[in-house]
Amino acid sequence: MKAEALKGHLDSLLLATVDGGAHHGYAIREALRVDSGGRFDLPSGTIYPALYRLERAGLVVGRWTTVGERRQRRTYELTAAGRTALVEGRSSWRDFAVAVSAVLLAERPAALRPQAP
Amino acid sequence: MSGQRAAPTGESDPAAVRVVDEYLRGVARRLPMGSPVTRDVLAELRDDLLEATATLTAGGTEPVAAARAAIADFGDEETIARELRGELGTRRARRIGITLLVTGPLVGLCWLVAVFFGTAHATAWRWLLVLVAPVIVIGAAATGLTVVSSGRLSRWLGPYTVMARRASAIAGIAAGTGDLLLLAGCAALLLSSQRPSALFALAAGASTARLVLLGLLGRPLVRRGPPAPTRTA
Repeated sequence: MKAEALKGHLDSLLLATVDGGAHHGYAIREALRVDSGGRFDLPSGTIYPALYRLERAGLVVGRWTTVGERRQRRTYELTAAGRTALVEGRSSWRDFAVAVSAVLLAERPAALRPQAP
Repeated sequence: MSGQRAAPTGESDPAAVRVVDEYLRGVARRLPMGSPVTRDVLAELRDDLLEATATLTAGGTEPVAAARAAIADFGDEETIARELRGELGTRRARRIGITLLVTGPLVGLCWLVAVFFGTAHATAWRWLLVLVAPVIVIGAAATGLTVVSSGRLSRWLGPYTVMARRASAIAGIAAGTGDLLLLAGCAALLLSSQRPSALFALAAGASTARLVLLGLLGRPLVRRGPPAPTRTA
């Protein structure tokens, strides 16, 4: 699935992925891919700017930690505002999904179906 | 976060590290350099690339091939740099906005004190302030917009990163224009054989310092640069 298809949902997906602990960019990207059954295999060029944007908005916080002997790693965790935004994002997605399903999967009487010319 | 997590971090193969660093030098050449933020971003990419390489190596891929595969998965240098440039520009815009928010009242106060208490030609200077006032109003509005649209409030406003960058450019140009007009007034005072008071020297110094600061903050936006990213403990 292309990144454009996720437009408007990427922030919530990233917040959900970061939920529950500190994770670095690569792990977040992998989690998105694995949790979506391989459908959301997004390029890093999409993930990092989105994480930085969420950080600027105060929804996640990035911290440097040391791994191994010398390597520094940046990990992200949700802030309180991020948790609130995630709850709102989930609720908004449920409403959206219910509404879209209601329209797309509705059984319509034949009279309302478009007629061929 | 659920789902399978990535591989353990281990010592990286030197040849694989060289491949990763070469790629990051290519990304760095396409980014505005000179800022700690850019260096941090490159260091973060490096760690994640090495982690991806380690994951593939643990799965049996030869280290250099693993590094190349990790890079291919990341995206080409230009694509990554293009996506990052927007965000780096917004962070730079925020720094410019905050600098102007802090220095604006200080520089303004210096000039007001100088004009009202430090010259025999106060009337002429008051006219100059009237001339500068619209520039100040535009600069203040653009500064406010920059700070609001690039910070925490952006969570409600939406990701208006282009707006933040444009507003910071307008704010910087307005502040620079105002400073240059006032410095020109000072120069005119000197040419008319008036000796400006120490208050004018202080105000002129404040404006000059701000111009230099704005130049330094704006410079990485046009300068792209070199070597690679290493961040070690």
